[in-house]
Amino acid sequence: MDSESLRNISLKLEALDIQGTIDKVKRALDEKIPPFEIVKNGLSPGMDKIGEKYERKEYFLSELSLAAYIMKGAMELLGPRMKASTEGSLGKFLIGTVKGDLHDIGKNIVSMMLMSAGFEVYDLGVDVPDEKFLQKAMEIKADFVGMSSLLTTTMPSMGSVIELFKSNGIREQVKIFVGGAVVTQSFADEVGADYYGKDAMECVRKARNSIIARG
Amino acid sequence: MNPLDRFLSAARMEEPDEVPVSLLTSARFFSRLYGIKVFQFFHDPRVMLDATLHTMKRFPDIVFFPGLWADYGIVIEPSAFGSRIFWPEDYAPYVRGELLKNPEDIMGLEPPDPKTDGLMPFVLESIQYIQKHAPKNIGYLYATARGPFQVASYMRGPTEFLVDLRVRPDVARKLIDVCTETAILWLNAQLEIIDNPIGIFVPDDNASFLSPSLFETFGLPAYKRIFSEFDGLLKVYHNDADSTHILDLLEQCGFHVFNFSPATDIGTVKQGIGQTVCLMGNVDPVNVMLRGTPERVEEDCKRRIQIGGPGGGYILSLGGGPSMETPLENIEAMVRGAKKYGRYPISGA
Repeated sequence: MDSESLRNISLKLEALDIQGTIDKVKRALDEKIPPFEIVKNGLSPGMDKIGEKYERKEYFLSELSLAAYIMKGAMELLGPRMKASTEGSLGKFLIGTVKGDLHDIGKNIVSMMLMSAGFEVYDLGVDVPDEKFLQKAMEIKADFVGMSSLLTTTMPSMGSVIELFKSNGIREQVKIFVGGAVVTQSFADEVGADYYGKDAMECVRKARNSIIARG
Repeated sequence: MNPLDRFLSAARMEEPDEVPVSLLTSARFFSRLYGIKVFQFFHDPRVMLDATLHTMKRFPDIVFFPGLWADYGIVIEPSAFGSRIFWPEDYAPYVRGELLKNPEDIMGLEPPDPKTDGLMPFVLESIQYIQKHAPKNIGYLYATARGPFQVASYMRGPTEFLVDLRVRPDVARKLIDVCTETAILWLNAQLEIIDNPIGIFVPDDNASFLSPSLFETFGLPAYKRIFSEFDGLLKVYHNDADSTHILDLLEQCGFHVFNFSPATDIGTVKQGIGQTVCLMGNVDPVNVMLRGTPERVEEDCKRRIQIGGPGGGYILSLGGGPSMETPLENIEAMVRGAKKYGRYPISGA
Protein backbone atom coordinates (compact mmCIF):
# COMPACT_ATOMS: atom_id res chain seq x y z
CA MET A 1 0.00 0.00 0.00
CA ASP A 2 1.42 3.33 -1.08
CA SER A 3 -0.24 5.27 1.73
CA GLU A 4 1.17 2.93 4.41
CA SER A 5 4.72 3.24 3.07
CA LEU A 6 4.45 7.00 2.80
CA ARG A 7 2.95 7.31 6.28
CA ASN A 8 5.89 5.32 7.65
CA ILE A 9 8.33 7.74 6.02
CA SER A 10 6.51 10.65 7.61
CA LEU A 11 6.50 9.00 11.04
CA LYS A 12 10.19 8.07 10.91
CA LEU A 13 11.13 11.58 9.83
CA GLU A 14 8.98 13.18 12.51
CA ALA A 15 10.72 10.97 15.09
CA LEU A 16 14.11 12.12 13.64
CA ASP A 17 15.03 8.49 13.00
CA ILE A 18 17.89 8.85 10.53
CA GLN A 19 18.32 5.27 9.37
CA GLY A 20 14.62 4.50 9.71
CA THR A 21 13.67 7.34 7.36
CA ILE A 22 16.28 6.36 4.77
CA ASP A 23 15.21 2.69 4.93
CA LYS A 24 11.56 3.61 4.43
CA VAL A 25 12.43 5.85 1.48
CA LYS A 26 14.42 2.99 -0.07
CA ARG A 27 11.50 0.63 0.48
CA ALA A 28 9.08 3.08 -1.13
CA LEU A 29 11.38 3.30 -4.16
CA ASP A 30 11.49 -0.52 -4.31
CA GLU A 31 7.71 -0.45 -4.34
CA LYS A 32 7.95 1.80 -7.42
CA ILE A 33 6.35 4.76 -5.71
CA PRO A 34 7.31 7.82 -7.79
CA PRO A 35 9.96 9.98 -6.07
CA PHE A 36 7.71 13.01 -6.33
CA GLU A 37 5.02 11.12 -4.37
CA ILE A 38 7.58 10.17 -1.74
CA VAL A 39 8.48 13.83 -1.21
CA LYS A 40 4.94 15.16 -1.37
CA ASN A 41 3.13 12.56 0.71
CA GLY A 42 5.96 11.08 2.81
CA LEU A 43 8.68 13.57 3.63
CA SER A 44 6.60 16.73 3.40
CA PRO A 45 3.97 15.71 5.99
CA GLY A 46 6.85 14.61 8.26
CA MET A 47 8.47 18.02 7.90
CA ASP A 48 5.15 19.73 8.59
CA LYS A 49 4.90 17.80 11.86
CA ILE A 50 8.47 18.78 12.74
CA GLY A 51 7.58 22.42 12.02
CA GLU A 52 4.54 22.15 14.29
CA LYS A 53 6.67 20.66 17.06
CA TYR A 54 9.13 23.54 16.67
CA GLU A 55 6.32 26.07 16.95
CA ARG A 56 5.05 24.28 20.09
CA LYS A 57 8.63 24.36 21.46
CA GLU A 58 8.90 20.58 21.54
CA TYR A 59 11.69 20.71 18.97
CA PHE A 60 14.51 23.26 18.81
CA LEU A 61 17.16 24.33 16.31
CA SER A 62 19.17 21.20 17.10
CA GLU A 63 16.20 19.05 15.97
CA LEU A 64 15.51 21.18 12.88
CA SER A 65 19.16 20.88 11.87
CA LEU A 66 18.98 17.13 12.30
CA ALA A 67 15.80 17.04 10.21
CA ALA A 68 17.67 18.97 7.52
CA TYR A 69 20.42 16.37 7.64
CA ILE A 70 17.94 13.51 7.25
CA MET A 71 16.15 15.33 4.42
CA LYS A 72 19.47 15.81 2.67
CA GLY A 73 20.12 12.06 2.89
CA ALA A 74 16.67 11.30 1.54
CA MET A 75 17.02 13.79 -1.30
CA GLU A 76 20.38 12.27 -2.27
CA LEU A 77 18.44 9.07 -2.95
CA LEU A 78 15.49 10.76 -4.64
CA GLY A 79 17.17 13.69 -6.40
CA PRO A 80 18.79 11.81 -9.30
CA ARG A 81 15.49 10.06 -10.02
CA MET A 82 13.58 13.33 -9.92
CA LYS A 83 15.96 15.26 -12.19
CA ALA A 84 14.55 13.48 -15.22
CA SER A 85 11.21 15.15 -14.68
CA THR A 86 10.03 18.49 -13.39
CA GLU A 87 6.76 16.90 -12.38
CA GLY A 88 5.49 18.34 -9.16
CA SER A 89 8.13 21.05 -8.75
CA LEU A 90 6.65 24.20 -7.28
CA GLY A 91 9.43 26.27 -8.84
CA LYS A 92 13.11 27.09 -8.57
CA PHE A 93 14.06 28.70 -5.28
CA LEU A 94 17.52 30.27 -5.06
CA ILE A 95 18.68 30.88 -1.50
CA GLY A 96 21.74 32.18 0.33
CA THR A 97 23.10 34.21 3.24
CA VAL A 98 24.19 37.67 2.10
CA LYS A 99 27.73 39.00 1.74
CA GLY A 100 29.76 39.28 4.95
CA ASP A 101 27.38 37.05 6.90
CA LEU A 102 28.28 33.48 7.81
CA HIS A 103 25.14 32.40 9.66
CA ASP A 104 23.75 29.31 8.04
CA ILE A 105 21.47 27.49 10.46
CA GLY A 106 18.25 29.34 9.59
CA LYS A 107 19.04 29.37 5.89
CA ASN A 108 19.71 25.62 5.89
CA ILE A 109 16.45 24.93 7.68
CA VAL A 110 14.49 27.07 5.21
CA SER A 111 16.22 25.24 2.31
CA MET A 112 15.24 21.90 3.70
CA MET A 113 11.63 22.90 4.41
CA LEU A 114 11.29 24.32 0.91
CA MET A 115 12.74 21.16 -0.57
CA SER A 116 10.32 19.00 1.34
CA ALA A 117 7.45 21.25 0.25
CA GLY A 118 8.34 20.52 -3.38
CA PHE A 119 10.52 23.46 -4.42
CA GLU A 120 13.66 22.91 -6.43
CA VAL A 121 16.21 24.54 -4.13
CA TYR A 122 19.56 26.01 -5.21
CA ASP A 123 21.59 26.87 -2.11
CA LEU A 124 24.43 29.36 -2.65
CA GLY A 125 25.72 28.96 0.92
CA VAL A 126 26.93 31.85 3.08
CA ASP A 127 28.80 35.11 2.44
CA VAL A 128 27.25 35.32 -1.04
CA PRO A 129 28.26 38.38 -3.11
CA ASP A 130 25.37 40.38 -4.63
CA GLU A 131 26.44 39.53 -8.19
CA LYS A 132 26.35 35.81 -7.40
CA PHE A 133 22.63 36.01 -6.57
CA LEU A 134 22.01 37.74 -9.90
CA GLN A 135 24.23 35.47 -11.95
CA LYS A 136 22.77 32.26 -10.56
CA ALA A 137 19.17 33.53 -10.75
CA MET A 138 19.68 34.28 -14.45
CA GLU A 139 21.45 30.99 -15.07
CA ILE A 140 18.74 28.78 -13.57
CA LYS A 141 15.84 31.11 -14.35
CA ALA A 142 14.86 31.25 -10.68
CA ASP A 143 11.24 31.79 -9.70
CA PHE A 144 12.10 32.75 -6.12
CA VAL A 145 15.14 34.28 -4.44
CA GLY A 146 15.58 34.05 -0.66
CA MET A 147 18.16 36.04 1.28
CA SER A 148 19.14 35.57 4.91
CA SER A 149 20.94 38.03 7.18
CA LEU A 150 21.59 37.88 10.90
CA LEU A 151 23.52 41.12 11.27
CA THR A 152 22.47 44.76 11.02
CA THR A 153 25.68 45.40 9.15
CA THR A 154 24.95 42.86 6.42
CA MET A 155 21.21 43.35 5.94
CA PRO A 156 21.63 46.35 3.59
CA SER A 157 22.97 43.84 1.03
CA MET A 158 19.41 42.59 0.65
CA GLY A 159 18.50 46.00 -0.75
CA SER A 160 21.52 46.13 -3.04
CA VAL A 161 20.73 42.68 -4.46
CA ILE A 162 17.18 43.81 -5.19
CA GLU A 163 18.54 46.93 -6.90
CA LEU A 164 20.87 44.75 -8.94
CA PHE A 165 17.94 42.62 -10.08
CA LYS A 166 16.09 45.80 -11.06
CA SER A 167 18.99 47.29 -13.01
CA ASN A 168 19.38 44.02 -14.90
CA GLY A 169 15.70 43.91 -15.77
CA ILE A 170 14.79 40.68 -13.99
CA ARG A 171 13.19 42.00 -10.81
CA GLU A 172 9.66 41.32 -12.02
CA GLN A 173 10.49 37.74 -12.93
CA VAL A 174 11.29 36.64 -9.38
CA LYS A 175 9.58 36.73 -6.01
CA ILE A 176 12.06 37.89 -3.40
CA PHE A 177 11.99 36.63 0.19
CA VAL A 178 14.03 38.03 3.08
CA GLY A 179 14.50 36.71 6.59
CA GLY A 180 16.89 36.36 9.54
CA ALA A 181 16.98 37.45 13.17
CA VAL A 182 17.40 41.19 12.53
CA VAL A 183 15.02 41.43 9.55
CA THR A 184 11.47 42.69 10.04
CA GLN A 185 8.42 43.21 7.85
CA SER A 186 9.08 46.95 7.77
CA PHE A 187 12.66 46.36 6.61
CA ALA A 188 11.39 43.99 3.93
CA ASP A 189 9.00 46.72 2.75
CA GLU A 190 11.76 49.31 2.86
CA VAL A 191 14.09 47.36 0.55
CA GLY A 192 11.28 46.28 -1.75
CA ALA A 193 11.20 42.54 -1.02
CA ASP A 194 8.00 40.67 -1.87
CA TYR A 195 7.87 38.59 1.28
CA TYR A 196 9.28 38.48 4.80
CA GLY A 197 9.50 35.17 6.63
CA LYS A 198 9.81 35.38 10.41
CA ASP A 199 10.83 31.73 10.48
CA ALA A 200 11.21 28.77 8.14
CA MET A 201 7.61 27.69 8.54
CA GLU A 202 6.26 31.12 7.61
CA CYS A 203 8.60 31.35 4.64
CA VAL A 204 7.32 28.07 3.23
CA ARG A 205 3.68 29.03 3.87
CA LYS A 206 4.17 32.33 2.04
CA ALA A 207 6.03 30.68 -0.84
CA ARG A 208 3.20 28.17 -1.27
CA ASN A 209 0.58 30.93 -1.05
CA SER A 210 2.39 33.04 -3.64
CA ILE A 211 2.00 30.18 -6.10
CA ILE A 212 -1.69 29.86 -5.35
CA ALA A 213 -2.05 33.63 -5.81
CA ARG A 214 -0.14 33.44 -9.08
CA GLY A 215 -2.48 30.65 -10.22
CA MET B 1 27.36 55.36 44.31
CA ASN B 2 29.42 55.61 41.14
CA PRO B 3 28.25 53.62 38.08
CA LEU B 4 30.74 50.77 38.59
CA ASP B 5 29.86 50.38 42.30
CA ARG B 6 26.21 50.35 41.29
CA PHE B 7 26.90 47.64 38.70
CA LEU B 8 28.85 45.51 41.17
CA SER B 9 26.19 45.92 43.85
CA ALA B 10 23.51 44.64 41.45
CA ALA B 11 25.84 41.81 40.42
CA ARG B 12 25.95 40.78 44.09
CA MET B 13 22.12 40.59 43.97
CA GLU B 14 21.77 43.72 46.08
CA GLU B 15 19.62 46.81 45.58
CA PRO B 16 21.96 49.68 44.68
CA ASP B 17 20.79 53.32 44.96
CA GLU B 18 19.42 53.05 41.44
CA VAL B 19 19.34 50.57 38.57
CA PRO B 20 22.77 50.54 36.86
CA VAL B 21 23.02 50.97 33.10
CA SER B 22 25.47 48.91 31.11
CA LEU B 23 26.29 48.40 27.44
CA LEU B 24 28.56 45.75 26.02
CA THR B 25 31.85 47.08 24.75
CA SER B 26 31.51 47.14 20.97
CA ALA B 27 34.33 47.64 18.49
CA ARG B 28 31.90 48.76 15.79
CA PHE B 29 30.02 51.26 17.95
CA PHE B 30 33.21 52.61 19.50
CA SER B 31 34.84 52.98 16.08
CA ARG B 32 31.90 54.96 14.77
CA LEU B 33 31.96 57.31 17.75
CA TYR B 34 35.70 57.76 17.44
CA GLY B 35 35.46 58.35 13.69
CA ILE B 36 37.61 55.44 12.55
CA LYS B 37 37.16 52.32 10.45
CA VAL B 38 36.58 49.18 12.49
CA PHE B 39 39.75 47.67 11.07
CA GLN B 40 41.76 50.51 12.62
CA PHE B 41 40.27 49.68 16.03
CA PHE B 42 41.66 46.17 15.81
CA HIS B 43 44.88 47.17 14.14
CA ASP B 44 46.47 49.02 17.01
CA PRO B 45 45.89 48.61 20.78
CA ARG B 46 46.60 52.32 21.23
CA VAL B 47 43.67 53.19 18.95
CA MET B 48 41.54 50.54 20.66
CA LEU B 49 42.24 52.13 24.04
CA ASP B 50 41.68 55.69 22.81
CA ALA B 51 38.39 54.80 21.12
CA THR B 52 37.21 52.99 24.26
CA LEU B 53 38.11 55.88 26.55
CA HIS B 54 36.48 58.32 24.14
CA THR B 55 33.15 56.42 24.37
CA MET B 56 33.40 55.99 28.13
CA LYS B 57 33.89 59.75 28.47
CA ARG B 58 30.93 60.45 26.18
CA PHE B 59 28.63 58.30 28.36
CA PRO B 60 29.92 58.59 31.94
CA ASP B 61 26.75 57.12 33.48
CA ILE B 62 27.10 53.88 31.56
CA VAL B 63 29.25 50.97 32.64
CA PHE B 64 30.70 49.56 29.45
CA PHE B 65 31.13 45.88 30.00
CA PRO B 66 33.67 44.38 30.24
CA GLY B 67 35.12 47.89 29.97
CA LEU B 68 38.69 47.94 28.83
CA TRP B 69 38.89 44.97 26.54
CA ALA B 70 41.35 43.68 23.97
CA ASP B 71 38.36 42.71 21.88
CA TYR B 72 38.98 40.89 18.62
CA GLY B 73 35.50 39.43 18.27
CA ILE B 74 35.01 35.76 17.73
CA VAL B 75 38.30 35.05 16.01
CA ILE B 76 40.83 34.69 18.83
CA GLU B 77 40.16 31.07 19.81
CA PRO B 78 39.57 29.79 16.25
CA SER B 79 42.79 31.51 15.11
CA ALA B 80 44.72 29.63 17.78
CA PHE B 81 43.46 26.34 16.34
CA GLY B 82 44.43 27.43 12.82
CA SER B 83 41.18 28.83 11.35
CA ARG B 84 41.42 31.28 8.48
CA ILE B 85 40.57 34.80 9.64
CA PHE B 86 39.14 37.50 7.40
CA TRP B 87 39.50 41.21 8.31
CA PRO B 88 36.90 43.42 6.62
CA GLU B 89 37.48 47.16 6.63
CA ASP B 90 34.38 48.16 8.54
CA TYR B 91 33.26 45.12 10.43
CA ALA B 92 34.58 42.77 13.08
CA PRO B 93 36.89 40.02 11.84
CA TYR B 94 35.35 36.66 11.15
CA VAL B 95 36.26 33.06 10.52
CA ARG B 96 36.16 32.02 6.89
CA GLY B 97 35.45 28.39 6.07
CA GLU B 98 35.31 25.52 8.50
CA LEU B 99 38.61 24.30 9.89
CA LEU B 100 37.17 20.93 10.89
CA LYS B 101 35.33 19.83 7.76
CA ASN B 102 35.80 16.15 8.53
CA PRO B 103 34.68 14.57 11.81
CA GLU B 104 37.92 12.58 11.94
CA ASP B 105 39.88 15.87 12.19
CA ILE B 106 38.31 16.38 15.60
CA MET B 107 39.42 13.24 17.40
CA GLY B 108 43.10 14.27 17.43
CA LEU B 109 42.42 17.92 18.30
CA GLU B 110 44.35 19.46 21.21
CA PRO B 111 43.81 22.82 22.95
CA PRO B 112 46.13 25.56 21.72
CA ASP B 113 48.89 27.17 23.77
CA PRO B 114 47.77 30.74 24.62
CA LYS B 115 51.39 31.90 24.76
CA THR B 116 52.26 30.90 21.22
CA ASP B 117 49.23 30.08 19.07
CA GLY B 118 47.24 32.24 16.66
CA LEU B 119 46.22 35.68 17.86
CA MET B 120 46.41 34.76 21.54
CA PRO B 121 49.95 36.06 22.25
CA PHE B 122 49.12 39.25 20.34
CA VAL B 123 45.96 39.73 22.43
CA LEU B 124 47.94 39.19 25.64
CA GLU B 125 50.30 41.94 24.52
CA SER B 126 47.35 44.19 23.74
CA ILE B 127 45.96 43.61 27.24
CA GLN B 128 49.32 44.58 28.71
CA TYR B 129 49.50 47.69 26.57
CA ILE B 130 45.96 48.74 27.44
CA GLN B 131 46.34 48.28 31.18
CA LYS B 132 49.71 50.05 31.19
CA HIS B 133 48.44 53.11 29.32
CA ALA B 134 44.89 53.40 30.70
CA PRO B 135 44.17 56.16 33.23
CA LYS B 136 44.83 55.01 36.80
CA ASN B 137 41.14 55.09 37.73
CA ILE B 138 40.07 52.77 34.89
CA GLY B 139 41.23 49.22 35.39
CA TYR B 140 41.35 46.24 33.09
CA LEU B 141 38.90 44.12 35.06
CA TYR B 142 37.84 40.98 33.22
CA ALA B 143 39.31 38.06 31.33
CA THR B 144 37.15 36.99 28.40
CA ALA B 145 36.82 33.72 26.52
CA ARG B 146 34.23 32.70 23.96
CA GLY B 147 32.23 29.73 25.17
CA PRO B 148 32.75 26.22 23.83
CA PHE B 149 29.58 26.14 21.72
CA GLN B 150 30.41 29.29 19.80
CA VAL B 151 34.00 28.24 19.16
CA ALA B 152 32.99 24.70 18.19
CA SER B 153 30.35 26.07 15.80
CA TYR B 154 32.83 28.36 14.08
CA MET B 155 35.37 25.61 13.60
CA ARG B 156 33.04 22.80 12.59
CA GLY B 157 30.21 24.83 10.99
CA PRO B 158 27.10 25.65 13.03
CA THR B 159 24.77 23.19 11.31
CA GLU B 160 27.31 20.36 11.20
CA PHE B 161 28.04 20.85 14.89
CA LEU B 162 24.35 20.57 15.79
CA VAL B 163 24.04 17.43 13.66
CA ASP B 164 27.14 15.93 15.31
CA LEU B 165 25.48 16.17 18.73
CA ARG B 166 23.03 13.48 17.65
CA VAL B 167 24.77 11.65 14.81
CA ARG B 168 28.33 11.56 16.15
CA PRO B 169 28.02 12.33 19.88
CA ASP B 170 31.54 11.09 20.66
CA VAL B 171 32.98 13.53 18.13
CA ALA B 172 30.81 16.39 19.41
CA ARG B 173 31.83 15.63 22.99
CA LYS B 174 35.51 15.64 22.08
CA LEU B 175 35.16 19.00 20.33
CA ILE B 176 33.24 20.50 23.27
CA ASP B 177 35.82 19.14 25.73
CA VAL B 178 38.69 20.67 23.78
CA CYS B 179 36.89 24.02 23.46
CA THR B 180 36.00 23.97 27.17
CA GLU B 181 39.62 23.28 28.10
CA THR B 182 40.67 26.06 25.72
CA ALA B 183 38.32 28.55 27.39
CA ILE B 184 39.83 27.70 30.79
CA LEU B 185 43.43 27.92 29.54
CA TRP B 186 42.71 31.19 27.75
CA LEU B 187 41.00 32.79 30.74
CA ASN B 188 43.87 31.73 33.01
CA ALA B 189 46.47 33.11 30.61
CA GLN B 190 44.73 36.50 30.72
CA LEU B 191 44.24 36.41 34.48
CA GLU B 192 47.98 35.84 34.91
CA ILE B 193 48.76 39.20 33.32
CA ILE B 194 45.79 41.33 34.41
CA ASP B 195 46.94 43.31 37.45
CA ASN B 196 43.70 43.34 39.45
CA PRO B 197 41.07 41.18 37.78
CA ILE B 198 37.58 41.09 39.25
CA GLY B 199 35.85 38.67 36.92
CA ILE B 200 35.50 36.56 33.82
CA PHE B 201 33.22 37.06 30.84
CA VAL B 202 31.97 34.13 28.75
CA PRO B 203 29.78 34.92 25.71
CA ASP B 204 28.26 31.86 24.03
CA ASP B 205 25.07 32.38 21.98
CA ASN B 206 25.13 29.05 20.18
CA ALA B 207 24.39 27.06 23.34
CA SER B 208 20.72 28.02 23.07
CA PHE B 209 20.38 26.21 19.76
CA LEU B 210 20.45 22.95 21.73
CA SER B 211 17.29 21.29 22.99
CA PRO B 212 16.99 21.02 26.79
CA SER B 213 18.06 17.38 26.74
CA LEU B 214 21.11 18.08 24.58
CA PHE B 215 22.00 21.07 26.71
CA GLU B 216 21.75 18.96 29.85
CA THR B 217 24.04 16.33 28.31
CA PHE B 218 26.61 18.59 26.68
CA GLY B 219 26.12 22.18 27.86
CA LEU B 220 25.65 21.92 31.59
CA PRO B 221 28.82 19.86 32.28
CA ALA B 222 30.92 22.16 30.07
CA TYR B 223 29.69 25.34 31.73
CA LYS B 224 29.94 23.88 35.23
CA ARG B 225 33.53 22.99 34.47
CA ILE B 226 34.40 26.48 33.24
CA PHE B 227 32.64 28.48 35.94
CA SER B 228 33.78 26.24 38.80
CA GLU B 229 37.42 26.94 37.87
CA PHE B 230 37.21 30.60 38.81
CA ASP B 231 36.00 30.87 42.38
CA GLY B 232 36.33 34.29 43.94
CA LEU B 233 35.76 36.10 40.65
CA LEU B 234 32.56 37.61 39.25
CA LYS B 235 31.32 35.32 36.47
CA VAL B 236 29.33 36.90 33.67
CA TYR B 237 27.61 34.89 30.95
CA HIS B 238 26.23 36.38 27.73
CA ASN B 239 23.81 34.58 25.45
CA ASP B 240 21.63 36.67 23.16
CA ALA B 241 19.78 33.79 21.53
CA ASP B 242 16.39 32.80 22.92
CA SER B 243 17.18 30.73 26.04
CA THR B 244 13.67 30.26 27.40
CA HIS B 245 13.83 26.48 27.04
CA ILE B 246 17.06 26.06 29.03
CA LEU B 247 16.66 28.66 31.77
CA ASP B 248 16.40 26.07 34.56
CA LEU B 249 19.61 24.44 33.37
CA LEU B 250 21.45 27.74 32.96
CA GLU B 251 20.68 28.49 36.60
CA GLN B 252 22.79 25.47 37.60
CA CYS B 253 25.86 26.53 35.59
CA GLY B 254 27.44 28.67 38.28
CA PHE B 255 27.62 32.18 36.80
CA HIS B 256 26.56 35.32 38.67
CA VAL B 257 25.33 37.66 35.91
CA PHE B 258 23.20 36.68 32.91
CA ASN B 259 23.11 38.99 29.86
CA PHE B 260 20.16 37.64 27.90
CA SER B 261 18.21 38.03 24.68
CA PRO B 262 15.15 40.21 24.06
CA ALA B 263 13.53 37.00 22.78
CA THR B 264 13.67 35.61 26.32
CA ASP B 265 10.84 37.11 28.38
CA ILE B 266 12.19 39.18 31.26
CA GLY B 267 9.24 38.29 33.50
CA THR B 268 9.91 34.58 33.09
CA VAL B 269 13.62 35.11 33.68
CA LYS B 270 13.04 37.22 36.79
CA GLN B 271 10.74 34.63 38.34
CA GLY B 272 13.18 31.78 37.66
CA ILE B 273 16.92 32.18 37.24
CA GLY B 274 16.61 35.83 38.28
CA GLN B 275 15.99 34.77 41.88
CA THR B 276 19.60 33.65 42.24
CA VAL B 277 21.44 35.25 39.30
CA CYS B 278 21.76 38.96 38.49
CA LEU B 279 19.96 39.84 35.25
CA MET B 280 21.55 42.13 32.68
CA GLY B 281 19.28 43.05 29.81
CA ASN B 282 17.30 42.86 27.72
CA VAL B 283 16.25 45.88 25.64
CA ASP B 284 16.07 44.90 21.96
CA PRO B 285 19.26 46.28 20.34
CA VAL B 286 17.72 46.40 16.87
CA ASN B 287 13.98 46.99 17.05
CA VAL B 288 14.08 49.35 20.03
CA MET B 289 17.58 50.86 20.23
CA LEU B 290 18.46 51.06 16.56
CA ARG B 291 15.04 51.66 15.03
CA GLY B 292 12.99 53.08 17.90
CA THR B 293 12.50 56.67 19.04
CA PRO B 294 13.91 58.01 22.33
CA GLU B 295 10.35 57.95 23.72
CA ARG B 296 10.01 54.28 22.85
CA VAL B 297 13.40 53.50 24.40
CA GLU B 298 12.46 55.27 27.63
CA GLU B 299 9.12 53.48 27.81
CA ASP B 300 10.77 50.11 27.13
CA CYS B 301 13.37 50.74 29.84
CA LYS B 302 10.63 51.70 32.30
CA ARG B 303 8.83 48.41 31.69
CA ARG B 304 12.00 46.35 32.08
CA ILE B 305 13.02 48.17 35.26
CA GLN B 306 9.58 47.55 36.75
CA ILE B 307 9.88 43.83 36.04
CA GLY B 308 13.61 43.25 36.54
CA GLY B 309 14.33 45.85 39.21
CA PRO B 310 12.30 44.88 42.31
CA GLY B 311 14.48 43.23 44.95
CA GLY B 312 17.71 44.22 43.18
CA GLY B 313 20.00 42.03 41.10
CA TYR B 314 19.14 43.87 37.92
CA ILE B 315 21.28 45.80 35.42
CA LEU B 316 19.52 47.69 32.64
CA SER B 317 21.25 46.71 29.41
CA LEU B 318 20.61 45.46 25.90
CA GLY B 319 19.96 41.88 24.91
CA GLY B 320 23.20 41.89 22.90
CA GLY B 321 25.74 44.46 21.81
CA PRO B 322 24.73 47.90 20.54
CA SER B 323 24.46 48.11 16.75
CA MET B 324 27.00 50.33 15.08
CA GLU B 325 24.44 52.93 13.98
CA THR B 326 22.47 53.10 17.25
CA PRO B 327 21.27 56.72 17.59
CA LEU B 328 23.07 58.43 20.45
CA GLU B 329 19.82 60.03 21.62
CA ASN B 330 18.46 56.52 22.18
CA ILE B 331 21.39 55.71 24.43
CA GLU B 332 20.79 58.94 26.30
CA ALA B 333 17.12 57.94 26.61
CA MET B 334 18.20 54.68 28.21
CA VAL B 335 20.26 56.52 30.84
CA ARG B 336 17.34 58.91 31.38
CA GLY B 337 14.95 55.98 31.80
CA ALA B 338 17.16 54.46 34.50
CA LYS B 339 17.39 57.78 36.37
CA LYS B 340 13.66 58.39 36.10
CA TYR B 341 12.26 54.96 36.92
CA GLY B 342 15.19 53.09 38.45
CA ARG B 343 15.51 54.73 41.85
CA TYR B 344 15.23 52.16 44.65
CA PRO B 345 12.94 51.09 46.21
CA ILE B 346 11.21 49.91 43.03
CA SER B 347 7.83 48.28 43.13
CA GLY B 348 6.65 45.89 40.41
CA ALA B 349 4.66 46.82 37.30
